[in-house]
Parts: sequence; structure tokens; C-alpha cells
Amino acid sequence: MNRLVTVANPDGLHMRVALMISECAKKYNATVTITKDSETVSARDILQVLTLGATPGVTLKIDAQGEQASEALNAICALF
Amino acid sequence: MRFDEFIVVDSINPNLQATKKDDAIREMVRSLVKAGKLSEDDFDSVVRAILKREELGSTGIGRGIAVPHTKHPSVQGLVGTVAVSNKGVEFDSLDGEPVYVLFLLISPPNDPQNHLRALELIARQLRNDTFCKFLKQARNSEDILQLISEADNNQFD
Repeated sequence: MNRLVTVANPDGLHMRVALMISECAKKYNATVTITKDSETVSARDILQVLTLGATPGVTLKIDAQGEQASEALNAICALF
Repeated sequence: MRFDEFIVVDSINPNLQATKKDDAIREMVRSLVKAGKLSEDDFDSVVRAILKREELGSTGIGRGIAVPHTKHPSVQGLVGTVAVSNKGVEFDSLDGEPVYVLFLLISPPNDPQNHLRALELIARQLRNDTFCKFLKQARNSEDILQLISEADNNQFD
């Protein structure tokens, strides 16, 4: 399952947000990825999340698979 | 973005002496003052701002890497420096391990875009195991400069 989110933070997907995303993703029994344009990264890895360099207003696709996919998707999308 | 757009060459430190987070940040900011990129008058204020940011959550993001940073009005454009520690720095990292490679960034308050682009660049390069390993093994400024130049020229892709 997946959902589109828009980066609302005026500073973009900066380190603290990236950390919250990666820590959140680790809590769930799910494989969560984030896609920007053609680049897809693991939500669990802060370095990978930072490589998206997502600026305010950018649309990202959050995809979750696995036992807790729904919970993970809701929790991560709530961080944007 | 490229490293040579914001890393101050004369501030590169291949042998960080500090082993505690506060001292490491002071040592790195000091190197920017010595390189003429920050005024002595701004030293305390910049260090305080970076330490305040660390209170919100450590920028020690695992794999022996830390990216301490702040916004500060003393700089007109993004300013950065890099340091390598042989001993390791206690940085309250996410994985609890010491830090060996530190990138320190100071951005003007009104320029979040370049800060984000620098974070993107640093993260992208440090994901590369070869770049990360060679950086940790660097023992002089020339080695570090050569590595970041090679990264700028996409030689680790």
C-alpha cells in the first residue's frame, strides 16, 4: 500500500525530520520505502532518507509492505 | 552541490584531538575561526548554537559519522568543515558508537535550501562504503581534500 505526501516543513526534510522518520519506521514490522522522482530509499536508514534532499512542497510516495504496513504508513505520513 | 562549494579547505582537520562532543565542536569551530571564515567574536555564539541543536537530538547518525550544524547570522553563505578523529569522539550517537568522521555546517538563517543540499551530498557520499572507509583512514589534510575532490568528480559512484 502507498500514499503520497507533500513536504510541509519550511526547512524541508532536514536531519531531525529524517531521524523521526527512520526511528518511526524501525518500530513496525513493515518494509517502508520513500520515493522521490526515480529514487527510492529505505525509510529506516537516516542516511538514505537524507539523500532525497526533499525541499518544501515536494511530493513523496511512501510505500509500506508487511504485517504492520497500515500502521507504519499512518505513523510515517503523520510526520509530514 | 559539491563539497568545494562549502568546505573551507584551510579548516580541514585530519587529527581531531577532542574525544567529547562539546570539545570536538569547539575544536572544529575554532578551525573555521583560524581559517578566517568566522570572527573570533562569533566563536562562542556559534558553538552555543550548535550545542543547542545537539540538545534536540544528536547529529551522530551512526556508522561513525556526525554532522553537527546550526543556522547562524554570522555567515553569509553555507560554511562547512570536516574533521577525522583517530581516537573516536563520544557523540551520543544513535547507535551508541563513537564518531570518527565529522562534517560541521553553519548556514545563514534564510538559506534552508543549501543546508538541505549539503546534507544530501554528505549523506549520499557517506552511504558509499569506500568513501566512508577511506575518510576514516585519512591521516592528513591532503588525503581528505583528495577524497572530497574525488567525490565531487563522481569517482565514488
